[in-house]
Amino acid sequence: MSKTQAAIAKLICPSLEEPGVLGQFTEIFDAFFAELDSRSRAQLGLFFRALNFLSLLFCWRPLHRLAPERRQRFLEQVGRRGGSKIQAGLTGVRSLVLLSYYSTPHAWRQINYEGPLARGERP
Amino acid sequence: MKKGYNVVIVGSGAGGGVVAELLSRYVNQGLSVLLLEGGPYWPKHRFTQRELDMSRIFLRKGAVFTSDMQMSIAAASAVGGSTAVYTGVSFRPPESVIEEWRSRYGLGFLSDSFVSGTLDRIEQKINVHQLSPEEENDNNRLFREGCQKLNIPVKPLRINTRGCQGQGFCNLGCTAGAKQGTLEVQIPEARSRGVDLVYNAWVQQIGPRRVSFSVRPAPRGTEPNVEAEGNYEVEADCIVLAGGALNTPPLLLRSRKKLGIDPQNIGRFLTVHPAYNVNGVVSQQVKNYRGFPKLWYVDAFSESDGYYLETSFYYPGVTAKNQPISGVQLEELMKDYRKMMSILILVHDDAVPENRVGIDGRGETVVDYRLSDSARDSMLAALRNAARILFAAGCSRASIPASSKALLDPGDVASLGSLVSRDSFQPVRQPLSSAHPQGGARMGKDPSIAVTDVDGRLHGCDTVFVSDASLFPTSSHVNPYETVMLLATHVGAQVLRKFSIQATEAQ
Repeated sequence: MSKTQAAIAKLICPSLEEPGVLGQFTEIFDAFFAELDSRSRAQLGLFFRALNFLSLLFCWRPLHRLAPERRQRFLEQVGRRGGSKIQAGLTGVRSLVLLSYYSTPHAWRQINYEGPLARGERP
Repeated sequence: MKKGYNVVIVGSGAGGGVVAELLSRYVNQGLSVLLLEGGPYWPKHRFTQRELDMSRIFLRKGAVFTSDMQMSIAAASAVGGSTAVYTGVSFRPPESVIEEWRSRYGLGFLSDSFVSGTLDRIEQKINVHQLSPEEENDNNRLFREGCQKLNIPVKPLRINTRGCQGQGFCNLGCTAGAKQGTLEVQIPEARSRGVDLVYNAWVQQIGPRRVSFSVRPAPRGTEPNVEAEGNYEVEADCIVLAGGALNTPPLLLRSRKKLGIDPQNIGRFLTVHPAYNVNGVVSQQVKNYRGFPKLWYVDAFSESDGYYLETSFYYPGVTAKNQPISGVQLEELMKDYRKMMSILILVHDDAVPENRVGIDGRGETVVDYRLSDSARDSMLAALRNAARILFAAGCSRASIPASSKALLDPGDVASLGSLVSRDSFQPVRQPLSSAHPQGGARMGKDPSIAVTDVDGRLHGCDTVFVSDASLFPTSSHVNPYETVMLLATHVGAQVLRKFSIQATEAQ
């Protein structure tokens, strides 16, 4: 997981700042990302690079070096002004992050989700 | 696998599975049949009940986005097709839909007696039934109570399960094999009678009597391949396309030159049942992820406002993704995951030529779809009514897409008209979803508006048939698998006629 990806993920799921949680998340996110089709991976890679470039251009710092509040504002501005493609990209990244985060043991404990049943076990 | 077959079927879902089973009855009379499935084979013991893991059973992991990124469409890519991952909700096509298909598109074979007789036999075979009151879980009870308080009539859904254990993981594949989809019923029957099945078999192109495909590596956690990886060509006297509305039109477009067919209508008139899922939080534990998730639906607004409501359930990741909020606010809401009510909205959409499935420069599926103004207004009306039901059922908060207020509370009911409005409807921020793509190779007498004739045979190529939801001339308005099986039964009988075989009993 790149620093840019982690910086965005922490805005979507603030609990990733807690000790040990980012590690669980990264393992799942990276595996999920790696199994996306090559086209989606390429598009997302380009999108993250574009966000970082815009951050350097307008904020003079890479995205992950912005303070959380500034990072949040920046992404909101980019979403509003960047047109539907940028907004759609942000929405796609949000989905990827949430699907990954809510597959972590930490998140399951946080929401009291019991997860899969053992084979053949009746609820 | 042989070098040639009488019939090659491409796709093993509701359409392909039914045709395979029907033809398999004549294998002992010398009919040879090959069933190709583009996805892997996940038998029930390989389902993991893990959301992210099982997302691999869907085409592009469940995220086939429309080109404007305002909707994601889910379709399975596995043996059994979408019958492996549906909930088993069983609807007969509404009479008004059948009547329109008969009168406007010339589907005269859909007589009342054919429809009712065929569906009777299908439903008996796959055990379509109504669940008992004891099987009503908390979410379904709250939905029923909420509707009753508002004098909204609820109706019981019918389900096609046998030996359901109420594990609640229907959409990730049933480890008990209780859902009587083609994965559990028609395909095992067809294989036992001698139909060859090859999975991970991606069909690139077809000609009138030839199918070109490649066997791809079996993904981890699925059954090993029965044929070596590589490229294959098989001869066929007849080809049946049943890859679903996201696959059949693109395959036809990739093959149009070899088939010598007019591409004008291919992929057009796509309908999808645009959907949103909404959640509310009650004070007591709901634990919607145990027990059968779907018992009730509302069709009271179908004619007047163009939508259905159904009870529903989604796993944590999809539930979080569906919320119109983020950050700390979302995490706080998700802490009440076990207190969440859940309602699914399905909107009827019109079949228009601009909405279509096409291909990009690499021949891969692209979907152009624009939500019509009337479908948007239907969705807004449905969202408002779903919110009313959530609060009538006792929810203290509700998260509604297209609301200008992040989380609604019971005091907002009187203002729903202004809070949930066209101004706040932004699917690019909160994408719609769909699990019912239909159309794109519509059936009809008139070649100027249809891709196949009323027997499901391509206009312009009499060796190729279509047998899946892409045949639908217009939206079925309801969960489509029974309607697919109905048409597949007819198409299968026409395929048999090519070999001078009279199908004795359609199902």
